[in-house]
Amino acid sequence: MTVVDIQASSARQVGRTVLLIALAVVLIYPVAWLIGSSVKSPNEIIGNLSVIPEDITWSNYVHGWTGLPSATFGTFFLNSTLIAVATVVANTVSCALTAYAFARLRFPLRGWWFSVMICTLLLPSHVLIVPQYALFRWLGWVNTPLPLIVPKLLATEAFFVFLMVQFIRGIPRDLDEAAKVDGCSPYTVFLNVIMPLSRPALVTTAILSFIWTWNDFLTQLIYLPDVDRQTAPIGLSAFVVSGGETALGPLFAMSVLSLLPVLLFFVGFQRLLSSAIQPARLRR
Amino acid sequence: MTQLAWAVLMRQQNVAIAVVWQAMFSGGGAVNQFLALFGIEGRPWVNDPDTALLTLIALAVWQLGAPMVIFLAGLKQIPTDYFEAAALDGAGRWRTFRNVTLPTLSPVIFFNLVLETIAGFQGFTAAYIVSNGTGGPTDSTLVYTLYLYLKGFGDLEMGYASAMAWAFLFAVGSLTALLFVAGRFWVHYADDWGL
Repeated sequence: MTVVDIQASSARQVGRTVLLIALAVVLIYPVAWLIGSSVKSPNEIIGNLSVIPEDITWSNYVHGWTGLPSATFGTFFLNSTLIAVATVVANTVSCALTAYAFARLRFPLRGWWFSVMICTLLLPSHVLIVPQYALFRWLGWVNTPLPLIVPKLLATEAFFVFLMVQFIRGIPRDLDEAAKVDGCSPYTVFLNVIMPLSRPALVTTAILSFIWTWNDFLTQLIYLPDVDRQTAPIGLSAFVVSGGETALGPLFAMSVLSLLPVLLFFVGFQRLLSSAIQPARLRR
Repeated sequence: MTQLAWAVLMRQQNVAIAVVWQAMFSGGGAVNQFLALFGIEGRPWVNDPDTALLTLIALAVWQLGAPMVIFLAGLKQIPTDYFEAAALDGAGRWRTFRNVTLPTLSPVIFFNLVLETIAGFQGFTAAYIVSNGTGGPTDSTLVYTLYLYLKGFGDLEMGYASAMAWAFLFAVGSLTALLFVAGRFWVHYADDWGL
């Protein structure tokens, strides 16, 4: 390689790096700007493009927390957390049981039920939302968190069922057989063999269903009209309507808080997931 | 699988993100300030019927992380033999990309195409937030799902909303079927890729 070649290729290298950095900045800027602006004074939010605030003020968080007249964001975050935690528990338990049945047990029409389950995966939620609402209104559950939680007890999230079926299929059947020889029933096989080995899939299900529920907007908007029942996304959207540009700082502060669990999961997720999804490496 | 889980996460519609988007693309927002540095006069992007929908499209494009992660997984799965063979045959970078990478990646391109199409139709949160739940200005951000919501839960015309939902399913289903038919002409699966 001649000197000119090396120079040309390093120039290309620099060009490529600059381009990639520019792209990364575009991708990161909105979130970084949101976080930075949440500690800026009102004038600075409008006037300062920079991500880093000139002087830091926490007043936005104080104002935002009590920004809506009828309820504080404490209520919203508490409601969000309750619904999300209940959903995580319900989803994980019910989807694990269902997946175990599909992956291991023999029952009539198993293949047919499995394809029905896959079909519900493809069905847009909007198709179901009206009949579901009619049903829950008839039950008198509107304005309670029940419509958001109870269906999850029935393994309605086909995505997680599918994920866990795939995972359980990767666990050698010999282990089941050995447990059966030792006198295990299908239930004790599930509890003592399948569950401990499926922990990675369970963790994935738990994390994803937490974030799905945390970010969910449409269903919470429909089922929770009363302000003291509402969740963080609904609170935020009410804030948008009431505020305008003057309340931008408090609005940003509350946005940051509502993104916090999601961001934390993103940061910690890489390691957690990559260890989670590898099919159970079995030591025998 | 890791990638799929990531992609699922990244495709999330989030109210807080929509809030930032609205602030960035408003009259005095960051985008216009940035344009002003170059002497370009911006406009109130989200409040202008001509550009409000564009901001929603920009948001969807900005969330390119999900398809990207899937593409990355697909690229990693192309056997390196193919590239070595192409290099032996004297193919340049462009030829290699055009004749090896693209065809072997086509199932992944197709997968992303279908997923993004369906996701695009289902977008609701951003349109709701950017327009304060109205679909405005002058219906420019009134996406189908938002209209469905307003009909069913604003005007309480549940029957109408139900009918809309079925029309929606039919339309998206047909479009997906169309994509699958068209895919026969350009998607190459490994098993019928004679090598």
